[in-house]
Formats: sequence, structure tokens, C-alpha cells
Amino acid sequence: MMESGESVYALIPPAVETKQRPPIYRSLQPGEVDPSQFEMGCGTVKKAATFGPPRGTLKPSTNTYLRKHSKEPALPDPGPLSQTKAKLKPDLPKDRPIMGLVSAKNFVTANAIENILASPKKLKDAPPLATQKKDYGKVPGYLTKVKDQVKREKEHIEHLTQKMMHDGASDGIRHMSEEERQELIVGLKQKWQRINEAYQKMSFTLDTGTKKAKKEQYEAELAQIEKDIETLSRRVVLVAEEPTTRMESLRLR
Amino acid sequence: MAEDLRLDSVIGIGGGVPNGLLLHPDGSTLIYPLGSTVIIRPKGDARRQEFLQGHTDKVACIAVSKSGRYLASGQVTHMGFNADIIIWDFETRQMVHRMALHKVKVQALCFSHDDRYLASLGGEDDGNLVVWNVELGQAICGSPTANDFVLTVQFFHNDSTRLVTGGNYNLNVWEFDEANRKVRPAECHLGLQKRVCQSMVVDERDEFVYVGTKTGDVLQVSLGPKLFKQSGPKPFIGQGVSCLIQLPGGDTLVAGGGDGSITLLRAATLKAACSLQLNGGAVTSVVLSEGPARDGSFLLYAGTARCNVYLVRFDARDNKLTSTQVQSCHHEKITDVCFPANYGDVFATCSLNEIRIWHAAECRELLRIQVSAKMPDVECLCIAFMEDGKSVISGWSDGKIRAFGPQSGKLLYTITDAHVAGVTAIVGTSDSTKIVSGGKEGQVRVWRIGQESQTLISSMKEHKGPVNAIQVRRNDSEAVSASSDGSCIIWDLARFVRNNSLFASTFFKAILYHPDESQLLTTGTDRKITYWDAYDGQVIRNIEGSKSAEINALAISADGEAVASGGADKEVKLWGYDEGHCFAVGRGHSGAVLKVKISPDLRKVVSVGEEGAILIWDYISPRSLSAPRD
Repeated sequence: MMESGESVYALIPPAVETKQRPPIYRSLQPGEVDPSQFEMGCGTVKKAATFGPPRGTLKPSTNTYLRKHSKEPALPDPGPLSQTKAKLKPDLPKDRPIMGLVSAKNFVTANAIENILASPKKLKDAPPLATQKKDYGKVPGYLTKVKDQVKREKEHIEHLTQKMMHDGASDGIRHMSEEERQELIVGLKQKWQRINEAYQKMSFTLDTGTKKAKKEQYEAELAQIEKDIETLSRRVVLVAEEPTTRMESLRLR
Repeated sequence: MAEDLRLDSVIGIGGGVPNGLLLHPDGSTLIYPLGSTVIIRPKGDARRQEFLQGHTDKVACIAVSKSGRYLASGQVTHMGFNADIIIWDFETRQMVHRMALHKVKVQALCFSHDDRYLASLGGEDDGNLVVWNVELGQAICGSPTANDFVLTVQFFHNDSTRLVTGGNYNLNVWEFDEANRKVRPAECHLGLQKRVCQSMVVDERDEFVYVGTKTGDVLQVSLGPKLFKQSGPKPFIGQGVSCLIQLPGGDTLVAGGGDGSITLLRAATLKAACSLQLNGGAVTSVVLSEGPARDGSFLLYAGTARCNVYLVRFDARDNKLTSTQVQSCHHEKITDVCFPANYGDVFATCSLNEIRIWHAAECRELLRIQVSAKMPDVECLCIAFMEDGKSVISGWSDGKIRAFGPQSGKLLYTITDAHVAGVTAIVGTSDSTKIVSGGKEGQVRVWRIGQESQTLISSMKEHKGPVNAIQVRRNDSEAVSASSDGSCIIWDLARFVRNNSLFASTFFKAILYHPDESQLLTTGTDRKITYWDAYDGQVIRNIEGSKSAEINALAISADGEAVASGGADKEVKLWGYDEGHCFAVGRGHSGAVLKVKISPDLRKVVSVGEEGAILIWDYISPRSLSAPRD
């Protein structure tokens, strides 16, 4: 417990109570009237104060008997409700619906007459009969078209196979003619001469990698040409063209 | 179904609104905004308030017409929406027109001298000047203002078709042509001066406009040739001239500074005659109350950004300004409110950096407790009176529990490091020897409060989220705590262990015992008010407390008949405990309701909100829905 010596309850200083002085006394009797002309309570003697009620007055009456509930406290009339019930739903509608209204119409007969007199409905855009169509019972055009196309393709393939069979009878190998052979040999020799010249003119020292590579390339080329010339110098030279390349070219076309 | 709760009075003023404090031309009525409400009250009586409610968000500017017949108020709204301007009839306090053209914010409003036109400026995101016909409530013409945004607008005193606007590096005189629906600007030449115009006043003969700038000087610009004439005072007024008025007669200007100073300037030379430093942040509005008398003395009201209103008196004989504070309230969100046990005449509220104790009947501040200015950001999160009334205990965001004397406001003791991240809930036991506190980190701790020392008795670590509310049973045997982790725990205060726990998928915001302590009430972000059995922790009943937003606060009347709730839907609702029906709704807050309390004498309901207002409502006891019993 912390005793701070303060209190929040003393924060508002209590209101200083000023004592209400009673109003100054003023006599109800006007001061200028002489009190001796008033009885001042002396002359008011009650009836029957000395000898009791007059004889016969205490006789019970048949009208003044004790009535039922007469001693119960009379309650005041109940006023309006102090706590009214809040309305959760709206009131029921006040106006009564008219009951017992019956129509005199005979619905069965009326319906029958209406239907008898009604004209039949017309169907809009009824589909025509299949048998009435122009191409009824005929083979559809598209079927003929497709058949033709299939047939043409088949023929084309047949044609190609025939052609290939014919061309490939000698397996694409033929004799090289004498003129062609001589021509090739002369050409190769000229080429050999040209390369050899360049080879012979190279410097003697092979001090760089480029020179070395160059020399090796020349030597390889010369060797290849010599080998080719030797091949062409045989008595019979056969030339074979690769059949696969032909097939490829056909297909591509 | 539910009736309206009568708003008795409001403690609060929107101090941050520039020129928000107005005096009606009748000279006896003050007008000021508070959140989304505009309050009208007589000068001398802070209790007799009337409220103009119609805005949906914070009021950003208000203006009263020269004859006093109309009042206009403009508001802020969300990005991309139109902000409303409302014109009110002052006599009947009724809304006359609601007009929306500006986006996001209405920056400033001004009536023309003959009440026929109203000029409005849009905020930074809008940047338009619109002139309205006040009678019809229709826009006459509008124009985008300068390249930069504008802050203030003033009509001429003798010409209702000309007006001046000032803003970020611009000052323009506009002339509008009602027949052709055009408004045309003419730029004022300030020479080399580059100024942000924050406030301005046009003199009575329409010769000059005096412009208060963010730099802190006042410029005198002639309205004829639109040329800069002179500036002053030297040295500048600190942190800019936030408001400026000219006294009748025209030879004196009064400037309110951003540093909280009030400076008298001679209009002819713009030299400072005298000044006064007020203590309450920037002076945002200055209005003349009385005067000037024959010798030049006058009275004026000054409103500051920290929501203080001062009556400033200028004594011409001594050439001195003196001030008295006439109204004050919290300027930040109010985090808690509490009454002393069984005593409804005073209540305490807490906010950033301060605690205030109020006289409930007179709405008067009795005591202000401020922690030192060295810690400007420390926030008081919870507050309670000890049962014996001898101390005010409070939990702070720096993790300390501080206790103050309720009469002197003296710091009695501090418990340092009570909770690491901040003390979010605090309550004293009924014998006033212990405090039960809850922290942001989720611990519930019990402290012994001795005459000389305070010691930790037990630390109970079960919650995983911040503890938002704690209540102790009257016989101090048990305490309940509500946490944001979705659990409430009933603690045994003899053994310091958990007795029972309640779970729901919500952030529990409030928990309390019914006065007979057989049932518990909780609420939270699931918008439900839930009744629990206090013995076995079973749910008894679920009421939908709000259709739209979370509920932050619950309070129960001392007789257990009514429950008050307040939440982010800005409404205070009263519920019958037995029937669980909402029988009264109080609308008036303009921010989320953070705490609500019913006074122990069952006369008032006090609610505090995020906008910094304390609203005091008349309590009404529940009206039953069922038929009266025979």
C-alpha cells in the first residue's frame, strides 16, 4: 500500500454548505386587531362532550352494515403502461378481405368452346421432308471428291516408285569416259604444279607456327593430289552417285 | 430500433486546422472543428455546445460569412474521392448545401463580402479554384490555380468579383465574370522574393494584401499595380507566419507564428511592436474577440496546434501582451480513460506524453501530468486509479509503470523495465497493495506496491501476443487477461498459474467481468461481443457487435444492466446485458473509438477516440424489448 497523502476523491473540493436561513416569522394574525373579540379556542365545546350522544342515536341501522371488501385499500386506476413493449412486427392489416366471392363462369364449357373455335397453330419454318430434297438417294458430292483425291495420290506414288525402280536398275554406277578422265588428270597435275611451286618457294627455316602449318598443309594437299591422280590413272574408272541423295531430292520435291 | 444517445459535451478542438478557430460576427459565439464535427459554443461557456454533423472525414477548413448568416466547412477524404463542402445556415444550424468538386481535400474557403459567393481551393492533389453561388449551391466557375499548389484565398472587402490566392511560390489576383463563367488570374510581382504564402489578409480599402509566409516574414503587396511594396519584421517570425489578421482601423496586424509566438506588427512599417510566446505548438488561428478600445487595447483568441486556446490581452498602456488559457485538450489520440472506483465526478485520460484528469460535470481540466520533455515520443498506453484513490497508475510505451499523486500530479514511483516493449494493460487490486500489468511482449506480471519499494511477485508467461486488457476479481483471487494472440487466460493470483483459458480466432481487445462475476465479456477484431462462463470458460452467447469494423472497447455499468462498446465504426453502442440488444447508438466520433467507460454513478458514458476527442454522453438505462411481466 502506497500512502501518498493524496486522494482522487478530494480532488474536487467539497462545496461549502451555506445554511439556509428560515424565512423571517410573520404572524398570520394582523397585529392591529384586538384578540379579545376572538374565542381563542375557549368557546368551541364539542356536541355531546359532557353527557354522551343523545338517546337513540347509536341504534344500529340496517343500511350501514359492513360490506364486503370495503376495508380493502382502494387502488387507483391503472394509468398508461410504464414499460411499453417495443414493436417487433407491424400490425395486422386493418381492412378485412371480401370473402365468399364466386364467379358464375363455367370454366369447363368455356374452355371447350374456346378450343373448338380456335384455329390450329401454324408451325413456323417446319423442316422440309428429306425425300423431297434434290439430292435424295444420291452419293454425296464430298465422298466422290475425297475418293478422287485418294485415287490421284495413289497413282502419283505408283508413278514415282516405277520411275525409281527404272533409274536404280544399274545402282547409279557408270563408266567414266576417257575425255573426262584425261581432263581431270590434267587439271589435277596443273594444281599439283601450282602447289608444289609455292611449296618449293617457302623459306628453309620453319621458325613460326604459321610457316610450319603452311608447310604441312602443302604436303598434305600434294599427297592427296598424287593419290587422286593415281586413282584416275587406272584402266577402268567407275563413278557411283549416291542413290540416297536422289531419293531425298525426290521427296523434297 | 436503437435510439440516439444524447451527446452531452465534447472535450476537444481540432487545433491543427489552419484558421480553425472562428468567432461569429455576432461577437459571442466561437466556432471550431473537431474531427468530422463542427462545434458552435458561446464564448464564455464551454459546456453549451452545439454540433454540426455531416462530414464523413476530418474537417480541413471552415469559414463564416461576413454577415454571419452562413457557415461553410470543407473536409478531407480518401485519395481519388471527392471532398465535400457543406454550407450551413447559422441560425437554424441546418445544412443548406452539400457540394463536391474538389478531390481529396478542400484547402481553404472564403465568403465574399455580400455573402453571394464562396471561393474554395482544392488541396495539393486537386489545385483548383472554384467560385460557388451560395444561394443556389452551384459552382459558377473554376480554374486550375498556378503551376504549384495554393494554400489560402481571400475575397476583396468591397468587390465581390475579385479575390486573391496565395500558395507555393505564387500570389495571384483573380477576377471572375459570372456571365461568361470565367475566372482569370493576374500574377503579383514579388521581384526576387520567393515565398510560400501561408496566410493572408486584405486591408479594408482593398489597397494592399498582407501575406504571411513560411519564411517568417509578412509581405505587403499592392493590389492595384500588383507589386511588392515591403516586407518585415526583422528578425523573421520563427517557423513561418501561420495566421495573420488585421485589426479594425487597419494600422495593426497580428501574426501567429509556427514557433507559438504572437506578434503585433505596425501595418505601415511592418515592424514588430511586441510579441508573446505561447506554450502549445504553432499558433494556427487568431481571432479578435473585443476591441480595439479607444486606447488601442484589445482581446483576442489564439488557437494552437496542440489544441490549446488562449485569451490574449494587449494592454496598450504597458505595450504588453498577456495570455490566459481558456480551453485545452489532448492533441494526439487518446489511448485510455478511467474513473476512480465508485466515483463518477472525475475521470482521467491519457495520450502521448501526458495524463489529464477532468471534472466530469464541468468538463474542466483539473490536473495535467506530463512526463519530461526529454522523452517527447513516449506514449501512455493505459491508466488506472488505485482502488483507494491515492495514486494514478499508468503504463508507458518505454516499458515503465509510473504512479502519480492524483492531487499534486507528483511522480510517486517508477517501475523501470516492467515490460520490455511497453506496458499495454494495468490494473490495481482491490486492497491497493498489488498491481497486475500486461505487456506488449505478452507477459502478465504482478507487482507488490509497498510504501518505499515495489517488487515483482510473479511473472506469468503464457500469452504470445500483446496483452490488451486485464481485470481482477473483487476478492483478488483471480485475474483475466485478453491478448491479441487469440486467447484470454484466467489466472490464479494465489499460485500464479493459469486456471482456465478461452480461445477464439480473434485479437481480443477487451475483457471484463459482469459485476456479479459469474460471467465474462470479451470482444475483439471479429466484431463479436461474447459472453463466457467465468467458472468453466464456456461460451454462453455471441452477439454481433458491429457490422463493419472491429470493436476496441467494452464497458459495463455498475448495476450490470448495460454494456457499452466502441469500435472502428466510430459509434458508441449501448447493449442490454440480458437481452443482448443494442438500445442506443452514439454517433459523433470522427476516428475509431479506442476506449469507452460508463461512469460509476450511471449518469454519463465517456468515450475517447483516435482523433483526440473526449465525448461525454448521457447514459440511459436499457429499454426492454420483452413484454412487461405481470
